[in-house]
Amino acid sequence: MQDTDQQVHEEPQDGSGREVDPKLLEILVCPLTKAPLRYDREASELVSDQAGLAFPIRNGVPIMLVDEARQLDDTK
Amino acid sequence: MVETSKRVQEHYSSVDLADRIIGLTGVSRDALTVAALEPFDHMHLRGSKASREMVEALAPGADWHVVDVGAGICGPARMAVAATGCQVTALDLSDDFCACATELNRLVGLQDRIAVRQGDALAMPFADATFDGAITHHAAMNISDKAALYREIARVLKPGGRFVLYDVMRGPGEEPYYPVPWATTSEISFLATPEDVRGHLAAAGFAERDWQSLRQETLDWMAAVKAAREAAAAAGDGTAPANTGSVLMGASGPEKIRNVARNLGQDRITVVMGIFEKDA
Repeated sequence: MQDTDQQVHEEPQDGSGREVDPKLLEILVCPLTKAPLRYDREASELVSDQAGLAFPIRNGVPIMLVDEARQLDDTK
Repeated sequence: MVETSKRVQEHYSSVDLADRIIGLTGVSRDALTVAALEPFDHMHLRGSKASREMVEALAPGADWHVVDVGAGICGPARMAVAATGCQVTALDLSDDFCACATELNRLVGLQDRIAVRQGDALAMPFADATFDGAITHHAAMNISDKAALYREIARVLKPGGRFVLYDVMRGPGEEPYYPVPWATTSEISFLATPEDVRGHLAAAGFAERDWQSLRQETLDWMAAVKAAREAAAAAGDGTAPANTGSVLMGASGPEKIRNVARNLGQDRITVVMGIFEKDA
């Protein structure tokens, strides 16, 4: 994890208020490149810059499937 | 592979699973415990008895971090945490199972001890040498590339890490009957023989510590469950037929269960628990 703020918690937009423990996010890597992920708290996503993918966190569950990830750059 | 993943996700699609399982326990959401869930949250042959054997075989220390590959709704994960105090990361392909697991973990107060992640067992989102132990139960039958599965489990385990598998495998008999609980047809069923599985495990760098065929134990358990259900039905206990299987499998549940018993009886499938250690 390259997140700079270790104290923040995810606040999902559905209001369920589930928190994501930053320590537990730390062990997650990109399933494609195995590189560390950047936690984008605003978007509630885990970003793999190398792969150009953003993995969503829904209701506190990181969705670490390439199929479900958002492409950061459409030309990739 | 992507196509297979989609089909497996669809196969295990199950809306409002947590609510329906809680309904089976007869306990209110506020009063839910790991013990109250136990008869209903172990979705594999021999139920919670098999989970207890898995936890005993893994024997995690309280400081262990364990990965459950294909964790489903996290029955075994909750049992392991409650019994040993270890930390579990639960990986599953099904969004419905992940949602159910998250909800049940939260209700029993284990949300800080079990981290649920939706992901693919063949491309796990974990760094090398992350975990002290790994378990997998009744997930490998939906994964065709067994060599890749065991390589991936070896990758995320620390050197010397322990791995316990509890799986349905191909028996020496004819092709299995379908539908079965893990597949409606042979399309998403990938059963390997015990010999092939052991070969893949050795190639992935695992040393075998124990290997037990539980075919007869499973047949005995299925017969006992059936007898208990029939006795309860005869006694007019209307709640008896409800179980996790019926919640999960719906109308085709009885046929799938019958086929498992036939497949076991005719050596078309077998059930194995294995204990392995990753080479140091």
